[in-house]
Amino acid sequence: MTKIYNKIHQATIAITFTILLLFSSTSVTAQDINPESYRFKFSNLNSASDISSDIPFSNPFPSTPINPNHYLKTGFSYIKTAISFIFTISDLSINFNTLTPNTPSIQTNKLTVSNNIIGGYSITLLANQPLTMKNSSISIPDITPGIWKNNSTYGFGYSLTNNNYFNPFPYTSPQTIISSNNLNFAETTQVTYKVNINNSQSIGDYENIINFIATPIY
Amino acid sequence: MKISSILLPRQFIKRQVFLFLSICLFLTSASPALAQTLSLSVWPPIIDVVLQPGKSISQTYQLKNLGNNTIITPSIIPFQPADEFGHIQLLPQQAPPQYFSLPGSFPLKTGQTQNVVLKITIPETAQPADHYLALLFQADTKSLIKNSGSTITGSITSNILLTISQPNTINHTASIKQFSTPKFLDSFTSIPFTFRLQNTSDNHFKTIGQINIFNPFKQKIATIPFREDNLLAHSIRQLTTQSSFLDWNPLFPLGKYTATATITPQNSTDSVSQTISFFVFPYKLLLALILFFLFIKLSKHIKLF
Repeated sequence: MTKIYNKIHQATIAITFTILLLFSSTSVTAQDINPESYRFKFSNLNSASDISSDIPFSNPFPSTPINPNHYLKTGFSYIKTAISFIFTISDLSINFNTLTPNTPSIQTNKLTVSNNIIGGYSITLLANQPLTMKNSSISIPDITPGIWKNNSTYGFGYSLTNNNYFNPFPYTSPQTIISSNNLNFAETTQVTYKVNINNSQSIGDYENIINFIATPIY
Repeated sequence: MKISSILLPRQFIKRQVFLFLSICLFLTSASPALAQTLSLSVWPPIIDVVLQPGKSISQTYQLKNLGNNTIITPSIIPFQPADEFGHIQLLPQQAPPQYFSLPGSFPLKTGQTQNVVLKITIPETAQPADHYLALLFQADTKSLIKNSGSTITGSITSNILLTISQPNTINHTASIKQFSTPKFLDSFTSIPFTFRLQNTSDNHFKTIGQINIFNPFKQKIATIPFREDNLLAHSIRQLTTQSSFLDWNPLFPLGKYTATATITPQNSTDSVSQTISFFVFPYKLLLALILFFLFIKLSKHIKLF
């Protein structure tokens, strides 16, 4: 009888682990760009048309020749295929968790612009405020632009390079951080966020909002 | 046989079933701790509109969400050229003209495509002018910040080049600011050109033109067409070809060549052109041969001593 129990018990464990394995292996691919997203099917994407007063421009086939006095053209004239502009940010939550004095907290995410055969793009950056304590006006100071390796340097900043060169975030007007004229299918830039506080910094949770804007060339 | 020995298998099976169901329930109810992502696709990336006062037009944009569920807020922001390569500088402090109507905020689920209709209505009283604007789609995705951290938001834009004009009043004019290449070039390297064009008119146009290259016998041997980029009013743009480079890659050129760049602004019959000349010879090879023979000669000379 004991042998039968053992076998049933082993079988239950085996089934459980099999299900566990199946569940754990399916959740990895969920957040990537769907390849189907590149298959936009339009009959004529770079079109032009005459217009009349208040006529919706929905027919991609121009029925009449272009009138130089009034027309609407979509897309780039030098690209004859369906090209949409795609912007991806890999992680929208930069968690520094609980800040500890003299212990820098570093997080990263990635910005990707796809379908750049249009000829170029730029990404601008704007933060709403410095890292500021919730329900308070106490904030963590901005970092001075430069190499930041020392744990006794305090502040908050970002880097786009691997050489520890950090910049402060802009708060008043958008600042262009990436300009590209490469014809790559996709370009990815890693952004590193770093914060370090000293012993006199008030204890609490600090937060802000950082906005990235991707714009194609004109 | 004892009673307990009869009941034991049932209890045991119940316990096993309970264990199995508990694990299944845990697996199906627990949400995976994945990072929140933003991924937006917009088409078209640009529209070029010429409208008369009193007219209106609509354009449908296709916006697709390839990331997590989000809320989209469309808006219009003026821009100006940021450089000579077509990049834009947003001007959020400037108010856009009140010619545009857009929907308000709307939710956009993962994988969902939304048609967004932009309507442009030019009042009868509008003055002829160019307006350069970005249709901005701001995404607001739920943040997962705990304790200290930064919430990241993202936006994607599509550019609008709008010309308001009366019929037959647009007069595109341009001026070549720079057309150059090094005066002396090696026969085994590509010939790089720099071409900067200024729009001297009040309206944007497409840069339609090419560089024609002539050999020492005045025969046209190559044509390099410019990419049809948009040149905004009173701005300068450095032109390229479709491949983003303005190079000529001939097979062993030799002698004096001339290159003539010609631009005919869109809807215009007036062309602007400029001609430059340059010399091509294999000076690197010649230098290497001279050094080689010098070395041979010096070697023989040294052996004599």
